[in-house]
Amino acid sequence: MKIEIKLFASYREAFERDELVLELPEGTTCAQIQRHLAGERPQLARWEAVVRYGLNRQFVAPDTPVADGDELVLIPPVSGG
Amino acid sequence: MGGEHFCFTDKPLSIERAYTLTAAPASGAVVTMVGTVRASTGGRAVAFLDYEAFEPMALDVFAQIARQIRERWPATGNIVIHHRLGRLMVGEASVIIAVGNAHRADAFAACQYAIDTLKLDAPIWKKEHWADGDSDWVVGLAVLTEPST
Repeated sequence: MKIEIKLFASYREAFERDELVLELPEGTTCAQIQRHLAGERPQLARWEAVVRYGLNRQFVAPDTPVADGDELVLIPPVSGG
Repeated sequence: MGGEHFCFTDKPLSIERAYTLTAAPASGAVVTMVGTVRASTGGRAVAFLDYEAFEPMALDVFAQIARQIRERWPATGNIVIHHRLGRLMVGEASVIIAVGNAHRADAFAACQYAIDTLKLDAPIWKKEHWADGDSDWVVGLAVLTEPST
């Protein structure tokens, strides 16, 4: 299945792009995607405990599986305002 | 029931505009909160900040904040949240929140709830560029107080 991943802040800088499209096995969870990305860009490993996941613009738990065509946003610690 | 006006912009924010959008005959109080870029953090001089947001989800979060405010403080009138993006210099306004209510105590409480919740949940990030040339993404307070695993 294909997943579109939007990247912001430290994630965007680590990959030098705004989004990634990943081909992943069925049942892959948000947390597994984070670990996959941290495997490619080790500087992202430090966010594992605190990154949040926006799946189709809703906050979801780390163990939520993604489905084909989903849009996943990795949300490193926010600091707006 | 009041109206709502949310936006992101790369132009300077206007407190007059936020107030004009919020003021209403039924609102005996309009409380406004202006967040501005501080000259230093932890004693270290700040040169400027860069703000970015995932706008569609952040706007959804703003709408949710407004729903929660109306549930908790039913006499709420208009609600405005304007957030600036891009490069901001020290002293510039990054966010303006304005909340109208029939009564001032509820307007204060709702405005504080709005800025606190925005900082916790809205996908908006800022990068601090220090006067010494270094830079860091700002990590919110909620993260620092969560137990690490």
